[in-house]
Amino acid sequence: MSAQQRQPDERALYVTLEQVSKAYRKGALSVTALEGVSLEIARGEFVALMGPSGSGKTTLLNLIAGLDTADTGAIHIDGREQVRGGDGAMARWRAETIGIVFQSSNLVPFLSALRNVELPLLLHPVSAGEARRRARKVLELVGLEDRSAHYPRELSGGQEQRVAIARAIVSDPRLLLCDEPTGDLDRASADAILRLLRTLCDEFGRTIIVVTHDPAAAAVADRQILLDKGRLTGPDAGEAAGGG
Amino acid sequence: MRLAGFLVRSLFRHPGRLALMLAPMGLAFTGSAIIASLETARDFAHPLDEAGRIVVIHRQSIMQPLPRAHVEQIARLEGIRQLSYASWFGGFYRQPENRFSQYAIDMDSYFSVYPEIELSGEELAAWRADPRAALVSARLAQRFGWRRGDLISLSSTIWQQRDGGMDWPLLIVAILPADAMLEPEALYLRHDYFDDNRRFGQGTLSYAVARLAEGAAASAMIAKIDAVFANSSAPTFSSKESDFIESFQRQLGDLRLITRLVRVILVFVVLLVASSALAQAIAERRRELGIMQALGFSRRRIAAGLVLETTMAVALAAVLALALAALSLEIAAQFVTSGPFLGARLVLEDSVKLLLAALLLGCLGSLFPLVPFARRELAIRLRE
Repeated sequence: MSAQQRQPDERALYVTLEQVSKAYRKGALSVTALEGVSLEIARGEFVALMGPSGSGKTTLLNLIAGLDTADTGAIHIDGREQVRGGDGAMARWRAETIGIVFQSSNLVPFLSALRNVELPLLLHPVSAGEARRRARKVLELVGLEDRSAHYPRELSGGQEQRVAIARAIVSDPRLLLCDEPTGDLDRASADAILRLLRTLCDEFGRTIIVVTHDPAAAAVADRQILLDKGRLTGPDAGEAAGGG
Repeated sequence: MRLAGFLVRSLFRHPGRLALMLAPMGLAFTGSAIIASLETARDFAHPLDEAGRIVVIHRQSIMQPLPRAHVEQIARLEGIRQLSYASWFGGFYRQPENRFSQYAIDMDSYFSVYPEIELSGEELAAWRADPRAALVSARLAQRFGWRRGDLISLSSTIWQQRDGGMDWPLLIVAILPADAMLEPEALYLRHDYFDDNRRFGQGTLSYAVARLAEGAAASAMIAKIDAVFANSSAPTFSSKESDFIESFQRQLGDLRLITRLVRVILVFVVLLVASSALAQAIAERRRELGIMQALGFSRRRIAAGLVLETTMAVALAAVLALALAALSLEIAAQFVTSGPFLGARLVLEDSVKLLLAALLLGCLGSLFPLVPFARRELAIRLRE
């Protein structure tokens, strides 16, 4: 990961959604989670995805992450249509392309912070020593080098989220997806996480999409995308909008 | 961290719960190993069929005596190479609980039928010189601290001496390796001494044992011998020596069938415990497994990890069980003097088979709980 100063490149699109729809079946009922969502996010952009509960934010994030599949529409990441292969192909794509941070219970409980961060590197052709070195480096980046031997139960909520972010970036993905990363944190811890994400975006050129209810998170982002009842609202509604 | 390290850490994440999972599987494996050792005990002794020996007893049971004249008649049959005989002597040493196998054997012919009994010239001379001479197995000698030259006394509740006494003085003239005798703890005394001094039953014996001439078919000889005595006052029942010993040890029914049934049940216990433990683990780790998938671990890779983890647990239970079984049998060997556990020991072949069975059970036990895991959509798992 290179620490050079970057600005969002408005011309280079990184994530593109075209008329994406998704419905869930609950018994005989079909519940629409997303309907005809078109969206463009530029490389190196920090986007906050906002909206009321049940508006489809997490569904949208899951679709971009390949954790779920859209019923209709297309998703392009870095100019290539998202892989629609089997589970193995999707897993490989996720391991190489994205990092994910969830709201809580992110870490594997029986592994130390350092080993949690090393975990994704089991999927990459790196030696155990190299994995350890990289994990230490990203833990240092998130300011937790002195907590590397601690287990999740010995960490605060904020520290746990920082370890989760370290784990998400250890394999150097270009896209970071965060689902309510500050949802369970106090203000100070939440602000620290947001500053960290901003740094990853500004200094390391990561494209970041954060699902959040937190106005502070929205304020830190380059752009807010609003969702309501599965549809885009605000400036992104109607036509797909570019960065900024 | 390597994958193996991850799996080991995952396995030991809840040591207490792991112990509770290993305990029933370990007990089942221990039971299986001990049962296997019983079969080993039964198969103890030599390659009996290879020795080509036939044992002849009274048709009713070994407790019914055969007349000595039978031996002479059998010896005259074509196909008999050597012939000897023995009588069962059910005595004890000092205390009634100190029982072990004791046979009065013919002084000379027995060694020709059992060439595996090797006595030095000195031992043979001593055996012939003193009618009270006795041969004992090394294990029995160790148990009672006997040495060559010791004069001991066996008490019998059946065989009374001519003078009314129940004690039979014996002189230990040789200590034999256990596999040279019919059972690990055995004592042989001279039949002439036994016969001359017992108050009743002279001129009879418990069984005759024949070594067949080369080319003589055992089944044909068995039929021939029994046909000779079919209409006598003491009809015979002949069998191969291996069958004879097997039937002798089947005092509690068909041991082989029973032990196999029990082992099948134990296998199912292990299978069910492994399956239920994994099913519980998958239910509890639903979110953790979802996160693993989100990190880029494929379902197949995660499933393989779960199978390996379960198999490691079952294999660990098997290893601990083998250690426990070996220790139990070692302790039991110090105290057991009769019954099916006599000579029971864990052999390498059974241990290897048990470990292989554990690996197979670990894999099989994992399959059933993995079906719902494989079907569940990832996003659904993460939302739960």
